[in-house]
This record gives sequence, C-alpha cells and structure tokens, in this order.
Amino acid sequence: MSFSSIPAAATRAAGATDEAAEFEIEPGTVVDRRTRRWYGVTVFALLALGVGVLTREPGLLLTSAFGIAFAGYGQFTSPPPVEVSVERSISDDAPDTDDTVAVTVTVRNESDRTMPDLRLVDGVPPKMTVVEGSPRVATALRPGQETTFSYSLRARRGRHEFEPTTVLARDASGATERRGTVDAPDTVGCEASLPSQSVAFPLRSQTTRHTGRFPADTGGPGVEFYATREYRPGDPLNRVDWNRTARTGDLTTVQYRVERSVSVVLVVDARQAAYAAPAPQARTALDAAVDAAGHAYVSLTDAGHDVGLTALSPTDCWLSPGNGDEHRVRAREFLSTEPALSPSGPDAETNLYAAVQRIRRRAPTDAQIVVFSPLTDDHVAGAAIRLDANGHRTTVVSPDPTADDSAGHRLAGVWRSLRLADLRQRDIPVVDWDGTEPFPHALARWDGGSR
Amino acid sequence: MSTRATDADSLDTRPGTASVAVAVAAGLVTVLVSATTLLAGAVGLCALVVVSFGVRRGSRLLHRIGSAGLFGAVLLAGVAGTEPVPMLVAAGAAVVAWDAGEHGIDLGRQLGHAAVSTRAQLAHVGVTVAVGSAVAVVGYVVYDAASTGQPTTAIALSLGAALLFTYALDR
Repeated sequence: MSFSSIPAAATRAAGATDEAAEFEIEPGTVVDRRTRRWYGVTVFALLALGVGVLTREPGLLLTSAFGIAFAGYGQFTSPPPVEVSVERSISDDAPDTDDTVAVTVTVRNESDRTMPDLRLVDGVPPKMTVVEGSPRVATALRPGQETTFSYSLRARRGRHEFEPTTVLARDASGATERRGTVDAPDTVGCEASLPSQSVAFPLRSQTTRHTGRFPADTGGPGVEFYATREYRPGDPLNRVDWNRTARTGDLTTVQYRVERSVSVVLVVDARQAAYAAPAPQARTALDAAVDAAGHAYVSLTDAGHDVGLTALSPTDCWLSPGNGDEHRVRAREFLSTEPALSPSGPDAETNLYAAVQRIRRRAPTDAQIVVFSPLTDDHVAGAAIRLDANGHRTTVVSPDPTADDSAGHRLAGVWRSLRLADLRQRDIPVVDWDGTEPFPHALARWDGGSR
Repeated sequence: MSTRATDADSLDTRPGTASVAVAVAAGLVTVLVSATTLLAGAVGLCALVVVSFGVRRGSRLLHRIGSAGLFGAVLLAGVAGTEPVPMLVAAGAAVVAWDAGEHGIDLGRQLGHAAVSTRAQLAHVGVTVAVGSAVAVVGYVVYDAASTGQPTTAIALSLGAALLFTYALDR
C-alpha cells in the first residue's frame, strides 16, 4: 500500500472546501486549518459596538458584547486529536466483475476527548465506483463511542487496495479543522471469470508438427484424403494403397490431410496509450482487450491449441503456451491480477522494441500471434508487422476507443482506421471491434478478412 | 487517460435537511423578534428569504448575504431602541442561523448530500445554542446586576470581552 498518494476522495473533499489544500498527509500526522468562520460575527459585534456608542442604546451595546464573546469562543476551543480506529467489513473480497460489493465501515473514537464534529472520507480504491450510499460520513462521537456507515461498490477487474481514510475533526465551534489519515488496509481482488462459451476465433492457416484440430495444407496421417505418393521405405504397411499395387504393381502410399494444433500467443497492448476510453468513465480499450483475450483463450484452447499470454508493458510478464485445466486457472489469474494488465495503467513508458524481442525469444518459432491493441498509435501496428515478417502469423484484434464528439477525436478515429487499412493491406487480418457489443458478435460479423 | 472512478464526479453538494431547517427557523426567530420597526422587519424578511435560498442550494455567497441582512435587521432594531432581552434573543438567533447554515454548507461541500451527517449537524447546532444561551444569560445578569441601566456598564463589558478576544487572537 502506498502512503505517498492522497486518496482521490480526500483530494476532492479538499478541493471542494479549500482550493489550495492539496497536500499530502501521512497516517499519524495531522494538519490544522483555521476556518475563520467566526470573523463575520466579529464584524457584526464591532459594528454593533460602534452604533451602540453613537446612539447610546444599551441593547445594542449588550448585543455587541454578546457577539464579541461569541467570536472569542471560536478561539478558545481546540480540535480533538485524530485518534480513531477504522474497521471495514467487506461483503465479498473476491467478487466477480460487475458484482456489487457492500462495504460497512465502523469508526470508533479511541481518544479520551469527545469529537463534536468528525468527518470521514473512506479511501475507496481509485478504480472502483460507488453505486449506492456514500463513503463519507459526519458524526459526533464521545470517547469510546462508535458509528457505522455503509456503501456499495461495483467491482472491476484487478486487485484493488483501499487507501487511507481521511479524517477531518473540528472543534465544537468549528474554528479549527484538523485533518489526518487513518490507515485501514483492505484489498478486494476481483478476478474476471473466463467466458464459458467458445466462439470460432479465426486463426491463420498454419504449417506445424503437432496433431490437433486445425486442418493444415500438408499430407500425412489424418482422416481426410489428401494425396497419394510413391512408397518410401518406412511408410506403414496399412497406408499402402494395395488396390493400386494390384492394378499397377507399384507400391503407393496414401496421405491424409494432417490436422495440427497451433501454438498461439495472445499479446495484450498494455502501454499507457491503450488505456484510452471514449468517455472518462467508459471501459478502457485495455479492459476491452483483456475481455477479448479471455474469449480468444477459451475458444482456442477448446479447439485444442496451446495458448500463451503476454503483454506489451513496462514490466515483463509471460504465460507460456499451454492447455488444460491447470493452465486455464493460471490464464484466468493472469488476465485478472497480472500487474502489467492492472486497470489503472502504468506510470512508465514501454520499451516496445524490447517487449517485441522478448516475445520473439520466448514464443515457439511457429507460434501464431494475436495482438490486442486499440491501435491508437503507429508503434503497435509496426510491431505486428514486424512479428508477422518474422514468421509468426499475426492477427490483430482492435477494440475501438475513439469518440466522435470533437474534431480532434474524429481525427484520431481517422488515423486509427488508416492504420487498420494499412495492416489489412499487408495481409494481416484485423478484427475491428467497437468495444461495446459483446466480442463474439464482433467476431461473428467479421468477414474473416484475408487469411 | 485513466480515470478515477468515484461518485465525487457527480457529488450533490446540497446541505443536509437538519441544517436547512435550523437555519431557517432561527432566521425566522430573528425576524419576528427584531421586527420592532417596519424597516427592520422588511430587511429581516428579505434576508430570511435569501438565507433560506442560499442554504437550500448550498450557495455560500447567498447565505452570507442573507446572514448579513439578518444582522442588519438586528442592528436596525437596536437603533430603534429595542430592549436588551429581545436584542439578545434576536442576535443569538441570527448567530445560530448563520452558524447552522454555514456548517451545513460546509458539510455538503465536503461530504455531499448523500452522506449521513444529521448527528454532526444537530451536535454542532446544539453546542452553538448552548454556548449562545450561556453567554447571553451571563451577559444579561452582569448587565442587570449593574442595573442602573447605564450604557457605561455595557461599554465596560464590551471592552472586557474585546480584550479577551484580542488575547485569544494573539495566542
């Protein structure tokens, strides 16, 4: 858990009251702020004093004394220490995507002073959305007394850590506001479940060594007749075409169409550029790409292929091609909690060249590659072309993050479609997906492009 | 382009109902008690309307203007020679109206309308009313004990309070 960042909600709270109050507070330290809220009453009291002296009205003078005493009251109170304990109970700390997670927070005054005005902003994980209730509360607590409030969050993919809770304690008069944070680490790990239905994910035609379900354009052992050729020593006897030998006297071997499995590496573009979204709260292209990669993984492994996963990201990550239940569990974990695919985006730049080199080094030489990228810049398109040229037959799946609400956004959309056209011209099939409809629909609508 | 998804983007900053109710009620008390002349009553009524609008909508500016109007009405009533007790009541109610409204607007801006805050609002108003009553009673008793009704006593009291206040400011 990082202590160096102020919770988003706290920044907001500060911004709402005091535009300049963007400071960081470590748990355990406090910052006091004078609210100056009694200054108006002081002005009134002094006015009353002046007018009272002029008019010699006892009522006005007494009122003035009253007002000044009130102004002094603000100076004589001091804010209580920020000694509260925050305890969270989370209804489900491993929810599925889009589940609603109920959070109940119990706040207890651990100091021996009454807190007449305690305001609390819970450190909601930055990428979670509050769907019901409010993560903020204001109350008054006697020593040892506690209060409870609850709200609901919508779960999003990834590991989410609660940030320190911001506490604002005011004295009774409200003249001084003490701001502190309380550390209450909690984590919600939301694993996206892999889709249960497989779809016909398009792969490119292939030549490889292992048996599988993908019909290759080569003869050998298989089911479907492919060709006959002259007998060579070592060919199995049951493959000799005896009818033909009886007719001609020559030994001939029948070859069948070989069905082969393919190694596929799914590459998710997780550079900063891939965190684009058509609207501030909309799903990012990365989230869409991870969703599509899940569909591709399930469909391809169901079809008997070995599927691996990796990302174009500042940090290295790799799941070697594989198949089977255990591999599926690892793939699910990879897509849900791999830091490189975290929903909040990397801080560092991605060295795309090095990332592509890593993929080339690790991917089996005959592996096909499917790149999931919004294609918001030229670099990933270039990487796909390079991989394809290196003998990895490459397909691109591109969730569309562009919006058309302004000229600039429309221009970005045009640039993207030009990149798509360029890739297709180089015989790299591109699935253009608008990211809102379910991915299988986009695949079904896709005409297959050029193989 | 990563976005921080919290409800703060659509935060409803209106104050809680308790603050609104207290501010308007206290303002009404000020208007009723200070309406000893037509002018004071008219100013007070206008101020009350502005205060209730300001507090309801969470507008700090409107609330300040309205509160200044309430204090103005109290001053006008004092100039017209209103007795000390009604003056103290009117001024106290004006302070409470201002305080409750300001507190509510602050809470609304920091925590939003949806946050549970009634207890904090009521506790704050309660303390203010208690302190105000105590100050008013002590002030009046001292004033009454000196009871020749000489303005000089009040002036002495004011000065004493002002001295205390300056001391507090320097701390």
